[in-house]
Amino acid sequence: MSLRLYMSMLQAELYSRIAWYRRNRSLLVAELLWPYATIMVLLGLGLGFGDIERYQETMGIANVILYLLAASATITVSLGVLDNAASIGLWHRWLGTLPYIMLSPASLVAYSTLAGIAAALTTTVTQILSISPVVVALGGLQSLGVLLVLASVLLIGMLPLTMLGTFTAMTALVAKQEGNLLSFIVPLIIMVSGVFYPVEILPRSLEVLSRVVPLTYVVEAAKLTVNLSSEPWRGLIIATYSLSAMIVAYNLIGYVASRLGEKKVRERGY
Amino acid sequence: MSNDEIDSAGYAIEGVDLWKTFYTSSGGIKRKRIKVEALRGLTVRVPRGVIYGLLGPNGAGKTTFVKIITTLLLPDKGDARVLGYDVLREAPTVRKNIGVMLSVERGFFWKLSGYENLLYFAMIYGMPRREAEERVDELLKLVGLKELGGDEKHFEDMSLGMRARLGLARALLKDPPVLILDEPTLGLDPTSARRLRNLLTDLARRQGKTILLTTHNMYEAEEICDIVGIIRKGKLVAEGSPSQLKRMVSEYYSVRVTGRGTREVFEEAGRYIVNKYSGSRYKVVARENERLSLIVLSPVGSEEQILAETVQRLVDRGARITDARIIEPTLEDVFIKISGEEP
Repeated sequence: MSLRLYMSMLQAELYSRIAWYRRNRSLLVAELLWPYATIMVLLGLGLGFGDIERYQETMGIANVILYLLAASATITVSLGVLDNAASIGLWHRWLGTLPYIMLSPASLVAYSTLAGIAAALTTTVTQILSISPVVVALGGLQSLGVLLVLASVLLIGMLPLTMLGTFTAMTALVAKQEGNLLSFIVPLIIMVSGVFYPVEILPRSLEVLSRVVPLTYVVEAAKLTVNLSSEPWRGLIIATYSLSAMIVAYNLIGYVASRLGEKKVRERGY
Repeated sequence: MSNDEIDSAGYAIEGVDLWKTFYTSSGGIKRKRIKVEALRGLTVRVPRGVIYGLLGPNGAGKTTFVKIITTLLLPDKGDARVLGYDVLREAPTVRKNIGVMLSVERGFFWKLSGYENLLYFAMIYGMPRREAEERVDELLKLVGLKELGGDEKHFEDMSLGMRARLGLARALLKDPPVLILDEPTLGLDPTSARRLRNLLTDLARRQGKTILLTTHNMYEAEEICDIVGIIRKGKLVAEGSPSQLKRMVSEYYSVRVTGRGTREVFEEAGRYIVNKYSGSRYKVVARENERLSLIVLSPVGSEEQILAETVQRLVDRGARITDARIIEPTLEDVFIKISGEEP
């Protein structure tokens, strides 16, 4: 299958997502406000149980607000990607567009993956746009570079999640259920990724599990990116290597599993 | 199209000995597995350039067949080809050569306009953006949506007729040689249905497209289809042109000649025809305004001659003819007789 076809499909997905934002402005506003809402909840809860300095020390971060903004953006993008990729099949089935998507020369797996990438691109842009005014206000103009690195980290980090979402989408279609069967994975991923607390405080088994969850490295990279007081580059490189290995491994396993799922969908009907 | 022509041109769509069984379940805690044999050795061959109508009662296997030849569903057994391409092994090529319309009511993004929806699907099918924009514009004009403002209207605000046209426009995006339409006029008002039928006829006659459509509408099948296939319980039970099918189920056509004259003249003409054509029967019926009708039940094949001779006999004996016609059985009669069910 040609690269031109895939690029065209990606363009189609981006086009439909932008059109969707234009027609659902309240949802766009909600998405832009999401990191701030998360921060308010976290700070509210956090201040009830302890002080900011302690949290700063435990997490090893320079600026709590900056970090929580980056972490909230990271979580929102991850959820957006997982949710979009996982529910894309169900969404098209409800709309009645699924057979027409399946009539594309590309496979359904390829389409779901590209839809996940489109979701990663658009949610990353909205989240970076959302947090940038406060980040620039707190960190000055040089923090624009931080935002750029953060956006890159988020995009790279979403690639392993995309195939996970695609696999989830196939399971929902194969099982012919009206919901995402693997939605329980999302809270598990968030729990072990160490986004709002260090993974070291987790029980040993969960800490081990956290090392195979891509989001852990995205969070680590996001922490290092916004934490300008330490030496971020070495850590960033390690996180990038880990993510790259996961992109290869997860996508290979996910691709094979998803293709089997697609075959089942075409055998049983959608 | 003669059989030789069909052989040399090949078939646009060919499904041979197709089998498909689905398993569903029902019940709450104690689930019961239900086996549904949707196709049981179905063979359908659609010659190139014709409009082929697939008729059958609900659950006969029409949609299953459509899904198999459009690569959306894998058969359990059998062979299916479109333009010679195998739907299993050459699925992407098959998809490039077909345009599909499965449902009139749904199948688009509700919040997007007709133009946006078509542009999205054009790009999903691999068309470069600029080319897609031109094609979408062209198609919106072709199906008459542009003049109705359907290019800017959101799908959710469109009438069923507009949705059907948009569906047809999507099926035509790749300018495919083969169109496969599952009940394209279902739920449409008579005017919208007629417009759509005219469009389909134009596409087949002027652009040489092969069209396979499933329908419950006997009038539609009779009006636009060159060949009609009737399936029942997953098997093809009859196939032919609408007139061939009518002949298949009826041994007699009715010849009816109406006019003014004495009953004796009409009775004499009836006796003359019955004596001359063995197997025929007649009846004289009184009509309004002192008119009489001579109805002759004529064996298939001699109906035109009987009509001409009856008219001539009556005119020669001073009757004034106001109406003369051959009454064929309808396709609905054929369908009920063959399938044993209401359409």
